[in-house]
Amino acid sequence: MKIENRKSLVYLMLIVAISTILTSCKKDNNDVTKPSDINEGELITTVQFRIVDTDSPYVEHIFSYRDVDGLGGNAPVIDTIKLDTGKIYSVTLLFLDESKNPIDTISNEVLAESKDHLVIYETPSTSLQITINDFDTNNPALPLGLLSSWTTSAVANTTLKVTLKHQPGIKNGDPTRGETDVEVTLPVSIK
Amino acid sequence: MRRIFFLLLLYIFSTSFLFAQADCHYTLKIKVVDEQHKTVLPGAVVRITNTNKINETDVNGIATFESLCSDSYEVIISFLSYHTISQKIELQSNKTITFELSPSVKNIANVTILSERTSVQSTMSKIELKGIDLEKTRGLSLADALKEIPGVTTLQTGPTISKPIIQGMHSNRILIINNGIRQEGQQWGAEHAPEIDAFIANKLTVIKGAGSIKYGSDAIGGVILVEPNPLTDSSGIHGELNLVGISNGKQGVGSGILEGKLKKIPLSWRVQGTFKKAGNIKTPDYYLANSGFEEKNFSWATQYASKKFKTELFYSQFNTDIGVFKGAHIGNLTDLEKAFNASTPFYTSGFDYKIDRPKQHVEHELFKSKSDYVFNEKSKLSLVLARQYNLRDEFDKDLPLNDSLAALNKPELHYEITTYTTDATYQHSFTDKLTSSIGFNSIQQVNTYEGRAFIPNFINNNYALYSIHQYKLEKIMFDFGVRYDYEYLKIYQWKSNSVLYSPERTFTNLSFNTGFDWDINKKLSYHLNVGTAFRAPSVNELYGSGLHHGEGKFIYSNENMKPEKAKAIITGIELQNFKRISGHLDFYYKQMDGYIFLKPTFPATLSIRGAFPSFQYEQRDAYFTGMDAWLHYEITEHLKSTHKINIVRAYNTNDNTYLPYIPSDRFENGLKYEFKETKHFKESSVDLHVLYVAKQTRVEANSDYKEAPNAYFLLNADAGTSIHIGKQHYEFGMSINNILNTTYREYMNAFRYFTDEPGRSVVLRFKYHF
Repeated sequence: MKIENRKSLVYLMLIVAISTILTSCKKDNNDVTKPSDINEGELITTVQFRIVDTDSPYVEHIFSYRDVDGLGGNAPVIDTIKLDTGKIYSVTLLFLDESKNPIDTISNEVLAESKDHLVIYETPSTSLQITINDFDTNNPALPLGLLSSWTTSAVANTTLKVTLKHQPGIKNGDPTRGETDVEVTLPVSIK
Repeated sequence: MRRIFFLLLLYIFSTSFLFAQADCHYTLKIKVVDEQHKTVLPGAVVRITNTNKINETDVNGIATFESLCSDSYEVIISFLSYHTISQKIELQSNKTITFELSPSVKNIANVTILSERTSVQSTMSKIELKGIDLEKTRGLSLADALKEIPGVTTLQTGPTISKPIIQGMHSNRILIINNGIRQEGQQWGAEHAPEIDAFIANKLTVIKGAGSIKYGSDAIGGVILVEPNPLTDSSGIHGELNLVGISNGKQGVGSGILEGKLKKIPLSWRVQGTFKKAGNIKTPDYYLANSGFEEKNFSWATQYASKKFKTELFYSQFNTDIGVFKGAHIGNLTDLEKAFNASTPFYTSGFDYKIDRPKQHVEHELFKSKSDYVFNEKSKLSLVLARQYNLRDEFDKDLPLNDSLAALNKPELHYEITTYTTDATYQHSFTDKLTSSIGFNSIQQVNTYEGRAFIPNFINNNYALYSIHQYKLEKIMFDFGVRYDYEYLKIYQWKSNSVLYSPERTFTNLSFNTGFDWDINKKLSYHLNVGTAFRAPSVNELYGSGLHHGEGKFIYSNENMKPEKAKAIITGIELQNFKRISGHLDFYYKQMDGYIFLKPTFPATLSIRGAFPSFQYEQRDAYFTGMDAWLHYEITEHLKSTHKINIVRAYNTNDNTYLPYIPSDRFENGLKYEFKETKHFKESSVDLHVLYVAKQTRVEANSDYKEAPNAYFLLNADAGTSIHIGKQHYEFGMSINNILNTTYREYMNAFRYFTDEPGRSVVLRFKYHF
């Protein structure tokens, strides 16, 4: 080997050495054949109404809107909320993640961040009047909506739309603000 | 089409009525260097044909011609044991041009692309952005810089995320070749901008065509070449420093290059880095909350060149954090309607540099090695190997409600894609006229995700063989290329019942390309290119079902789709001071079989979060046709007018409907005054231009959530000069964009539903060479 060639070889090796030091290649450590669990992350699968007739406070009626496999996939299972005429009900609203074991009660987090959340109840019927009973930590306090009183009057077949709004830093009582975390509509039968 | 022709004729006639004799005081310096070693070549013969001037290069490799007129000239350079090259030069100012001679081996890497050459020869339509036109775009993102080129527009997601569109096509239908390497990241997404530092480029080239024989037949829209300067050929240390300040967003940009060559060994090196930081962008009436970004890039290159062998190593890193405008990260259909109808977004803010959720974090790393070996006067082999790693994190607007999850502050979507590419080419000149090459490409790609499932894990391998032939006569050049592609795709996806779904797919295709380039005379040339292209449906189109949170869309993929096939014809003329007009004029027609696009489907997808607008991938036959033009008219020696025209028509021929999301017609007209050069002040000019963008009226009724935005006019200005003191020079530039602070929205911006475009912005640029 000529001296020149040997010299070039040394330089070539030098380049390779320097470039290896300068270049710390980033690496993907995941295994392509084992995709990560699709249930990772937070999901609200269920909106549950726990309804107590104030005349007989020891009986709790449970109705829910459930979409356990999340968005897409199987269609949600929707209960009809059955109420009696001329009653006053005390209602607790729960948001659950039933895809987790144990079931994750997301409404506890909503309560903890009450100043950024708002539950809205909408029904086209005049037979059902809903009053929100709980308030957030804003000053002055604004309605939250996890606890409510429902007053029924005449017989009706109607619907109830429940919306959970996330209003981080922008909550002012205006229901149109923010991003929708939950928006469900259930049939209501008042007999 | 008839209307387009009429408009064009009107254009040419209205701008070609003035004649005057230009004066002859220009100096042209031709520098000749060896392509392999970058060493200067003294004693080369330089001839300017239409003046009969002949000169030899001096010890610095420079031949000087004085008292030349403002005209176009053909320069022929010959030197013993090197290939003779000739090139047309349009002279309007004093110029120094460097030519690289190759040692008696013709460098035709392929039909479509010839990098590392001053004169690229191909029958496809090609437009370059370099020199002063490129300097004007310093500080902008790659896509925004490319917008200078007619035929190129951008697909925006707010003010900071933009992707190039060539002749109405984007994303998977465009190839970006970054320093010789096919850019591979998560390029399928409309809100995934190319992960490239535009400061690396010394030249940006757009090749408008259908399919590239060398780089991939999937380039149905075209190819973008991002090319750095060749590594320096003179020993000692050189460099440049770029500083840019942009008033809107209070953006600061700093970018530097340091390069050199060792004295005794033919070893060149370069290091380069860029830092960008911007805060909230302001529309004429309000700030866009969380629209800032921060970008940090770094690259190095080194090259060893001996007589027969040249090898180059290149490494680059791109890192960015981009805030996504809060008011556009919407939830379901109800939120969407409310956001559409709001006159100002719910989230507005003051100025802030802070980048909050929603945001994207992107990293891209490229490591490349390129080697060339010259066997003899007629044959050459080159081998390019590269590894790319791309990481993309997307953070939703809100943290999880659960405190322990929130504390992790993890991205809701995380992708990592690693790509290995190989490109081997062997080139042989059979005669002086016929040069052929054969080549092999491979792409091996692995993608994984964490977080929300949308794009599954996959392995995607592509192998291709191609051959390109170029036959060159005195005034006409023919080329022909053929390519065979084999693509393999394997998916790893969880089904809802926790069963692993793992289909395997293969796609094969043969594509070809041919054309000619005819120099009718020294001022006018005509080119025609026909070819076929093919694109296998990509993973997102086949298997990417789910909620696309960034856009609030529920997307249904379709695994039964076939590859998309295109037949295209592209033709045009190039003028070089033809009746004082210079520039390009191109027409194209692309017939697409099984064009893949997203179509709204009903009803909306119902979920516990409400209804989401839903879209399904569909395949239809379609055509794309249009025209782009970039013409300069020399009114006087110092005053020039510039005219750009951009027209695209895209039509679904199965359903007889217009295709959605196609750029509307745009026309740009400018006047530029170039000052006389002095010893110290060069390339000084002021320039005022008006952009008119028509309303996109070719949309089907009730096919969009909101009507296409109105037409708009924008007034922009540029001024610049370059100060030369000894060997050093300083360049200063200033631009004012949207001078009138016009409030407008652009059809091709995904955020047009929510917010106006940015208001007035002043850009100051400074560049120092040493």
